[in-house]
Amino acid sequence: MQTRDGIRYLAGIGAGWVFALLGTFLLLLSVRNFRWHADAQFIGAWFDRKCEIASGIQSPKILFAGGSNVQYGIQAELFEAGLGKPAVNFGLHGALPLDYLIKRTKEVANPHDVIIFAPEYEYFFRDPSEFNLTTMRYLAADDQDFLLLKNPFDLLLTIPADILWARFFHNPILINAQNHQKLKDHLTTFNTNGDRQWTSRERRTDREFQRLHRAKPTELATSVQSERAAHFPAQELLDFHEWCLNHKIQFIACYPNTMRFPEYSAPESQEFLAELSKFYRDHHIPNPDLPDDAFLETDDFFDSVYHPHQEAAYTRTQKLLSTLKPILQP
Amino acid sequence: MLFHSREFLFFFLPAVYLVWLACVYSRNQRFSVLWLTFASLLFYAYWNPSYLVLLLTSIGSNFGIGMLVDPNRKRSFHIRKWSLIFGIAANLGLLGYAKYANFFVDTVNQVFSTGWTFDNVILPLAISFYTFQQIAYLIDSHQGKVCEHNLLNYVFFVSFFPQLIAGPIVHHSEIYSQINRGFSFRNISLQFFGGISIFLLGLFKKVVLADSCGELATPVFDAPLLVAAIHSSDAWAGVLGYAFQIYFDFSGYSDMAIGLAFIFGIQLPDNFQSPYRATNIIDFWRRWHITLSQFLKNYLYIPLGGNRKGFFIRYRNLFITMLLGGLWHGAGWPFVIWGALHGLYLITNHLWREFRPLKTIAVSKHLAVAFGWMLTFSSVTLAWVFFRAPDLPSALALITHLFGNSASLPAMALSGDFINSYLRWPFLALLTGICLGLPTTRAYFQRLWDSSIKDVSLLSWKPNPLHGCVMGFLLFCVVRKYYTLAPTEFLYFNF
Repeated sequence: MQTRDGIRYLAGIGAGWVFALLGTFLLLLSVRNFRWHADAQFIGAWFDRKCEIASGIQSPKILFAGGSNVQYGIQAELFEAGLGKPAVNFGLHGALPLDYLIKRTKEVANPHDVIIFAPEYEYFFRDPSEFNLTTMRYLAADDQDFLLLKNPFDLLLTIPADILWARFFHNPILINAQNHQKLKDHLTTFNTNGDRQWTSRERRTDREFQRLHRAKPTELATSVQSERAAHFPAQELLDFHEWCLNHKIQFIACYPNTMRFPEYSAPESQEFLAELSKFYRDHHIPNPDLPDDAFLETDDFFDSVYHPHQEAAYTRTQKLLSTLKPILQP
Repeated sequence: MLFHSREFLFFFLPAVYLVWLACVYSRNQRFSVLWLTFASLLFYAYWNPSYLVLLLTSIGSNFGIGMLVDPNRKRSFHIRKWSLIFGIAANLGLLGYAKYANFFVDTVNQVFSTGWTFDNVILPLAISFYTFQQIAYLIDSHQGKVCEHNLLNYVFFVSFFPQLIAGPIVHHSEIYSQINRGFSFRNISLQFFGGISIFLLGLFKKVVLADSCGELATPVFDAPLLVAAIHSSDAWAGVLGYAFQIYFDFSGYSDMAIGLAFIFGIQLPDNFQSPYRATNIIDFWRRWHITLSQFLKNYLYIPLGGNRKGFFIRYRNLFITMLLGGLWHGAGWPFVIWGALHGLYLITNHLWREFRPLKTIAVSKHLAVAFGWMLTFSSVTLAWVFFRAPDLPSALALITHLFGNSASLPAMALSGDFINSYLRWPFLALLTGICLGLPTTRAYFQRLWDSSIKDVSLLSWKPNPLHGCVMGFLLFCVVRKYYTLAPTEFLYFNF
């Protein structure tokens, strides 16, 4: 073997690499605006419906934003009745990045609205540059620009293989046939305020209940300064708050509705929660809610630690309403 | 240091290779061997320096005993005989203490309801592999088959880093002959590109194929006792996933070892020859972990009497060999059962050959081959359940799930996304296609081993841009996987 053969072989390796990268990019483009996966279909349809509801309600309105803890744990309808002001449950999906949740919330917020923001605890620790599979599947179909604005090279190396294969191996008609009815049923469970009205305690199956008992808590850091909280989204929260002020929108921070694990009573967790509260206070972000008020018992949940059932959501909303009433109805 | 870890790929390997290259360039053969030996010991010590003391003690004592038992050195028969017995007993004693002491104490406690306690012994890395290599060396030396006793060559033979941790189990004659032939600068670029390509193929098998199969297998094998029911399709996907995981993991490791050794001009023996293509269980064991099978045959089955002492003794020997082969993999009853199952499979296969009742019935050859393959593959796959399950009750629970006593229940949402993915069956079909349809590493890289072959097919490796492109694609897939998952250990490191 001569040196020339070695160089040609190396060039071949380089070419193979470039072709693979290019192929990945083309496949990614081929799923643009194409909800090819059940994750993309569900989240996409959910967002479409929520945006439709939020845009159809006149401002000033109350907008509950966050992940699925808001979707399941808050009943905007009760707020509307209690305050006489339109309210929308804009709880989205906790798998999505925080900046994406904020971006979508900004799209439906108008001057003089109130945004009540309750991100899940994971958002305080999650590396914002790392997207999980559900996020990738949804964003690859619905919002590739957002996805590509992040580090595009990293994205091409990390985009899940099934996104790349799905275009050819997965028949969209089949997905629709399988999920069409489920999706349709799912969307009909939203009321005009965006609350989901299906997750009553009696609908919870034994398996879901068993799953709740096997659930584990989010590990809270001892401090917002600790390594565990290296990705604490201070800047994102402050920017969002500032954007709200600039647009004459009232911003209120709340705690996520989640299960009361014994670990959350440990001094380290309590210390973190106290620091979180201090963070809001130091930056003049209204935060009248208490973490303890948002901790519910295991039996109060439907199928995950952030999904209270309707009955628990009612109680939690009533409590939140009485806490926020002095601020919202001075 | 894992072969696919960053510290190995970007620091250790380049440094060792460059210094070795300089040694070869300066034609200093002894120093080349010395350098590779030093690097190998450093590689081993990286895990735990105290293990190195054990390895060196084992090497030193075996080398000394090897000289004592050599008939060419004109020592009395008794000294040679007792030295050999002592040597083998010491090796097995060390292996037994490190690997089986806890298992023995637990078993005694269970059977006799005693309360013996024993400090947990941490298994020294690679002890199963280097012990077997050295036992073979002692026996061969006793039989006068060792031509030279050179300490440096011996340390190199035992500790050469590509094969030290998980094989292939090499025979001293295979390594000695290559060291004595010397390293040459003539084919250095072919060695480099060929070796790197074999390594890359192994890396692809490990990182992309085996680790993806792990995503299918792990939730299922971790679940049987935790959940009330697993749908039989999930259970099958998990069990098949593990069958492919262990194959691609171990054959990937073997390819990486062969590739690394090839870079340094050393050829290691094959460990796999498409075992899942086997159409009977005897054929399977000629293709699976070949170097271990050969060791067990030459140093256990034949000394027990092999097939020379009659019908029953032959099958007894076969069963004992497979039982101990199972136990070699790990201290636990599931491994014993796995070995016993394979022993029974082999006995049945031999009996079938001898007394085939259907000899006279005309069966289509293709049909017989297809049936044989199906039976072999499913038997091997079922035996893997015992090999992988954490304990016996879990293995039995999983077997029950496989045969559908819970089939009426809806599919369980196990942890991990891949398990419930629609892609798992196409993925498993693809892996079956790879196992059955693609050439073995040896066949693909045949030109490297035999440069006289000129007329090679398109499916044989050549250092040209087309095959470079294939390697570039594999490299891309490996890097993609690296970005999303941290490197995992090789399964055979546990043995």
